[in-house]
Amino acid sequence: MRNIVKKGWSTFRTIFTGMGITIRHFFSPAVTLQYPDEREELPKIARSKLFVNIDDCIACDQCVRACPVNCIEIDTVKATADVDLGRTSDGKQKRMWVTRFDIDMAKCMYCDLCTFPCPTECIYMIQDYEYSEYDRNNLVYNFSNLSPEKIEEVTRKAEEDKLQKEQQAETETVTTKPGKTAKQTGSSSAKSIPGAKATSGAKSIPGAKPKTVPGAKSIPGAKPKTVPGAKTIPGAKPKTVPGAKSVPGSKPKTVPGAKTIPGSKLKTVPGAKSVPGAKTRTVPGAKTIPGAKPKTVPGAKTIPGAKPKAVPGAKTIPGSKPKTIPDAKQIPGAKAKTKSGVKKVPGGGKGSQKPNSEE
Amino acid sequence: MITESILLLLLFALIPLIIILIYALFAIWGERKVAGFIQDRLGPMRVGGWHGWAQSFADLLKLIQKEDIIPANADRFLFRLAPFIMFAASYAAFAVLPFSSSFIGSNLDIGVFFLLAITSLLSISVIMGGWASNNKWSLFGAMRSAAQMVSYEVPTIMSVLSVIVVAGSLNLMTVTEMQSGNDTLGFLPNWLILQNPFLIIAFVIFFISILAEAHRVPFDLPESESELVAGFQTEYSGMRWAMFMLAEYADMLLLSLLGAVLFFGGWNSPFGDFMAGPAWGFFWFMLKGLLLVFVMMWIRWTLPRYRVDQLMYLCWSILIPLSFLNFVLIALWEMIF
Repeated sequence: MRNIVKKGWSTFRTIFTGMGITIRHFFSPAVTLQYPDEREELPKIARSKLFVNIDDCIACDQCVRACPVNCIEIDTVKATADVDLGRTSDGKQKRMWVTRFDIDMAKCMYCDLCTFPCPTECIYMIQDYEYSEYDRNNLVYNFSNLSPEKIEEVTRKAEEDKLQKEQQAETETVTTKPGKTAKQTGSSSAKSIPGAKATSGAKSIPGAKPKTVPGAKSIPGAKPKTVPGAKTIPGAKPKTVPGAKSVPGSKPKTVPGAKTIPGSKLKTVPGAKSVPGAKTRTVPGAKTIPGAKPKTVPGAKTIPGAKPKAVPGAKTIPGSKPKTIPDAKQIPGAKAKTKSGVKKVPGGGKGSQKPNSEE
Repeated sequence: MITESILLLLLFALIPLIIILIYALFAIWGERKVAGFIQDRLGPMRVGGWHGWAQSFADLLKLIQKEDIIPANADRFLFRLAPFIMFAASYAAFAVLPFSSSFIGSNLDIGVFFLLAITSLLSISVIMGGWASNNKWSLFGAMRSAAQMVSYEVPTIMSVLSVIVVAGSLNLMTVTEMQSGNDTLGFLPNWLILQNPFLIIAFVIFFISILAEAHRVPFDLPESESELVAGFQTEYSGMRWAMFMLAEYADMLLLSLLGAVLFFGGWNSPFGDFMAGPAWGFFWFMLKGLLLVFVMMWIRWTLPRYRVDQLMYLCWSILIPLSFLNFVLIALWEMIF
């Protein structure tokens, strides 16, 4: 009996305790956010959607490389000399047409790593978080503001420009050929000779100096480069054989030639190297083939980061150009061979073949 | 003349129906609001503007459009009949409730007896629905419901009987009338619950029992959506299901109003002659009933469900002996004072 009373008492006590709690909540305000009608203010650093201010983009490719999931894709076309793309809001000169700047928000993992490397702070997270789509493809945002016609026009112009340069380079190579062949023949036997080539190359290289100074824009400068490039090709082979060994890294290739030749060349060469380390790599490619490759190289120079990739990839980028010129295609392959072959087999063999064919 | 009187009778009978329908629509909305507020939510907010007041109307529209499905092996006749019997039972009981000093459906001298008898039909309809559905969950729910309603009818009747002993009449109008006036302790209303300490115990037993009768938490075993998928209602859809729902809410209101009549003075104003009169009477009567309904909802969102054995233990081992004891004590109290 006592037990029952005790139990009954505790029953009612606990029931009223519980009802007290629920009635307190009954009168306390709801925590509901009436979502479509009200929205919470997101913190300023919220990561919800990427946005690109394309007017400020200099196509430096930094964000592409920073992205861990490869959700950003950028295509560029180098602007021809007669076009001024203007400056970014922080004063950087724009040199590339951004023909494609796609961000796949379906892939994006909101790590925000792409926004920090951006030199012009043109890619950043915005507050918009309501962008669900029925089709996954709709989550690919195109930030490039160029119309297809414009892109076509720009690429055509760039190709024509490149073609022009190649032709110029070819004419120059023709004039210089005799010397080259002589050098090459000599080079195959005596590598020291390359110096002679380099001299001619180096002299023409002065054009390269403009590159270091203002960049790829100086087309006139580029042409000279192409010329020496052709000359240097033979030189490259020698490098692989003894020159590379004697001097460290790929850079030595250009250096040896420079050394043998006047100091002025030396300066230009190091300068080129200093700008991007990649140049040295691209240069060999340039050497293998006349003008066309050199052009691509300068373009690569404007984007520092691109060059390392471009070494093998550089060919792919220029790849569009090579298509236009059949010779160029053959050349890229030759480059690859030279690179891979450089260490194993003397690149000179290939190089010698070319000169031979030219001969 | 005869047709006129029949029309009048129908109109008269429609008044409780309208009250039930309006109440049910807003009670369902209100229950969702109460649930929302207690859980720090808002409940329905979008239909009809202010706090989603038209939510139940939208639900009703949806239910009307729903397909009327009858299971292949169901007993079609009983299956169709069950919701109507359930609603009819709830509705018929409203006939003896004095809504106001000047309105009562049928001024029966055996009002309470009629009410308790007719609401017993509820368990019949529940068993009918559960059996006819040919579904084990439905049958489970129906059997639980039968056991529960038969058991809890005993303490309900005993606590009601305690009130009748004090009031001396089975006529609910008479019971209400004898509670008018404010003489208790000089200012309190003459409500029965304030006149006799044992009637407070009787009210507690009565309230627990009507929770079980109306299948409300913590005694909602016949429906227990979490274990029996709504019990006897599992196979019902559309308007048939809506009838069950309507009957359930009507039953809730009916039992709450009965409690208001028996213990809280029915349509009597708590302030004596102030705010008294037929219209005010209706207001007070409904207010008292709805307050009890609110307490039912409040309890629903507070307590968990009883187990079947606990349910039976509570009824047979505690409530029934207690109600009998209480009945004897009240009778003694009435003899002495």
